[in-house]
Amino acid sequence: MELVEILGLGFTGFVASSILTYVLSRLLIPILTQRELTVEDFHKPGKPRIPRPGGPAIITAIAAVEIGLYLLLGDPRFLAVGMVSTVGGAIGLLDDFFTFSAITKPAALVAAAVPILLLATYSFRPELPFFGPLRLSLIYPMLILLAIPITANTINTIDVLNGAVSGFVAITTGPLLLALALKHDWILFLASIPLLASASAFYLVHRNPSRIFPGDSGCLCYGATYGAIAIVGGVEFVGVVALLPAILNSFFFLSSTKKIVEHREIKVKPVNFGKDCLIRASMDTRAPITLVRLIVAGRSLTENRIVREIHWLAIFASILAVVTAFATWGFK
Amino acid sequence: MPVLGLIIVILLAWILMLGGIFVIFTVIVPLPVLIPALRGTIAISVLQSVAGALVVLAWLYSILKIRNIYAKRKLWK
Repeated sequence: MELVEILGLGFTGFVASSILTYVLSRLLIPILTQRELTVEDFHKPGKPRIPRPGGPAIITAIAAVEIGLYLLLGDPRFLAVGMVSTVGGAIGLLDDFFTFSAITKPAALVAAAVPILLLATYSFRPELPFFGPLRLSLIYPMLILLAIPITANTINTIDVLNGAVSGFVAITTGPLLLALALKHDWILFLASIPLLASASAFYLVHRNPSRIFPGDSGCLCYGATYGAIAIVGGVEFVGVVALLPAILNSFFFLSSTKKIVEHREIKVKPVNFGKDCLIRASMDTRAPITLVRLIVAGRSLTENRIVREIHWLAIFASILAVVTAFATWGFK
Repeated sequence: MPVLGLIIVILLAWILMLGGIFVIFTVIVPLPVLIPALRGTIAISVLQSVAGALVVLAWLYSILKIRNIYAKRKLWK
């Protein structure tokens, strides 16, 4: 494929995915409000009710562009990424309406990984920095079944404040694009563009003050798509490094609760929202340790400031991911 | 930069991850050469998988220790 062709398709995919996400989200706001599908925004005075889920807009935008690219270029890897996004998002949508248990959700998300195995769109030789590929012929398919639920849930746990998850995904998709460009894998480069475009466009309606929340459907769709791109594109390690702030958040939470629990099941909240509209860390030793609790430890911050700091951490992790990408493919 | 402490935590997590990769490639991958008696058997694959899992667990444990140091300074002071 010519570079001009790639850039043209990439630009078209970006525009289509961002317009679809933005327009569908704006359309969803009055529909969800009318049907009283709203949730409280806990970190605002008066706790206003915000429409949720915006996931259907995200799922449609990503899946439609992936399928469009598949019809144009005929590469099954577009189909694999699109199917993983759709199945991941659909599981999230069920969770939005029927609320799965903490175990059922990751178990159901294993199904989202199946298209990658069925379409055989993976290589069992993940490349690592400095040393090259690692041969994991037996264990790798099993790791794929674990990886999609892990990335989907990891991204879901960063959906804590207005604009946090959409901005985080938009920032951390950057290193994936760069790694795929370094690998000259232009198909997966194109397949990553709907994710970047959708996250960037959704940020416009999700940033503080949010007009719509993505819900589990939006977050799980983002996470599953991210995982699918990393696996199908063979840039797993770069993806792991870029997601480090979210991975650490999940791990810190899990290590404090000692079991898989839903956020709504937590008895002692990790942070408190004061009457002065500032967020403070809970001093209760029973409260789980989360990224937000560590950010506000010893100080009180506004919601905007915390989200900005989460995005700074995402930028720093993305820089490390770019260094990792250069250490893996930069000198070939 | 108030977020500096967490940036250092992320940097350490990354450095330790690279350390883990170094151990995997210098010790675990050449295991069949280091233990020729087990070469070509299923035991070597099992041994490599277990050793790889131990490296990942060691990484997670060290992250937990770093988190506790950070939390002790900022949260539980």
